[in-house]
Amino acid sequence: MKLTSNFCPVCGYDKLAEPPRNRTGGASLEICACCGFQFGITDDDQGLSYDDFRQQWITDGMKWTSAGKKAPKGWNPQTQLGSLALRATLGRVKGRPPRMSVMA
Amino acid sequence: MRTFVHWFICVIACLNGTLLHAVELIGQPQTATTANSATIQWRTDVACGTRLQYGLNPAVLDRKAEGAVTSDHTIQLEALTPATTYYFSVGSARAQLATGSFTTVGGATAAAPQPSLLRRVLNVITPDQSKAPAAVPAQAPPTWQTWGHLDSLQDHFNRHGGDFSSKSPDDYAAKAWLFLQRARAENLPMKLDDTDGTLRVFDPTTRVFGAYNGAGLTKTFFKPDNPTYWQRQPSRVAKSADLHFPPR
Repeated sequence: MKLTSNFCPVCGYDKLAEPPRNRTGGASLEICACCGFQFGITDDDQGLSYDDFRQQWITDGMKWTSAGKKAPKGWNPQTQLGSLALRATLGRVKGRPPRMSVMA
Repeated sequence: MRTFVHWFICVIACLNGTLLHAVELIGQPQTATTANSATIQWRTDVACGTRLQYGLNPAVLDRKAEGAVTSDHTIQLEALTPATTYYFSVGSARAQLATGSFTTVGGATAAAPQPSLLRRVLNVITPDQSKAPAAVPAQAPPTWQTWGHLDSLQDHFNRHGGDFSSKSPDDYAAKAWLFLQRARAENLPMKLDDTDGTLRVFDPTTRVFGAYNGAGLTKTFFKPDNPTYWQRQPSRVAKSADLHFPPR
């Protein structure tokens, strides 16, 4: 499994055009095509946390939100959330988030 | 032995089919030029490296520019010679996808050299009152020349288009671009993020916010609800003269 830094910390979608935040904390202002979270607006303007938004997205049925981008072939939101949990676990084990590393 | 040769040919054929032709160009590369710069954009069906080779001779593309791994590729070339035809090829590190050429705008409209740091400081301290405000264009260029990630435009329009009574994604993108031109002409508050080149612009009167990438292409455009949104934005305060992308 290949891990990149361009993944959504809300739903685990890993094909964002940019990392959600740069190394100095600036938001990308990108809308996640999967869950619809907009980095720097949903959080900084509307005050919603990743956890709250994720919970709402799950409650709403984990639908693909983008009207301009199609979901990848074979897209599975449960698998995606599983990989997000794996990232969180690996981050705790290593003491920092995994970055551009290739896992077996 | 013959079986082995057949097997070997099959493996080569499969590799040729799956690896060498894995990335495909969507449409043709688009170019936008000024006297001293050019922006080349192209799209691929999957994310891959961004590489552009260019030069004055189509047979000798001796200069190279590279960018991020993405499916929406943008390369900004600076310090070009006015009224000159350049040839280029686009692709990734593994494959060349297309070739083309562009001609920079004639020498009469070449951009003035960057003023010295002292001159820029003096300009800020003692602005020239006699100078007329820079004109803001009445019409924006085509959307592909103004919006960063085109496949995200529909989502931004759906979410924020109503803030500006925009009738279509193109109308919304045009308003975002015109806002940047007005901000530069009227010296609206700007913040420049040196980490990734993002420019944030805010109009305190109308409470409109726009964000643009290092090439001046729009990232988003909306009206924040939170009264302290602009104050909490990161990055350093910037002036129009600090911007590296060319005026339109």
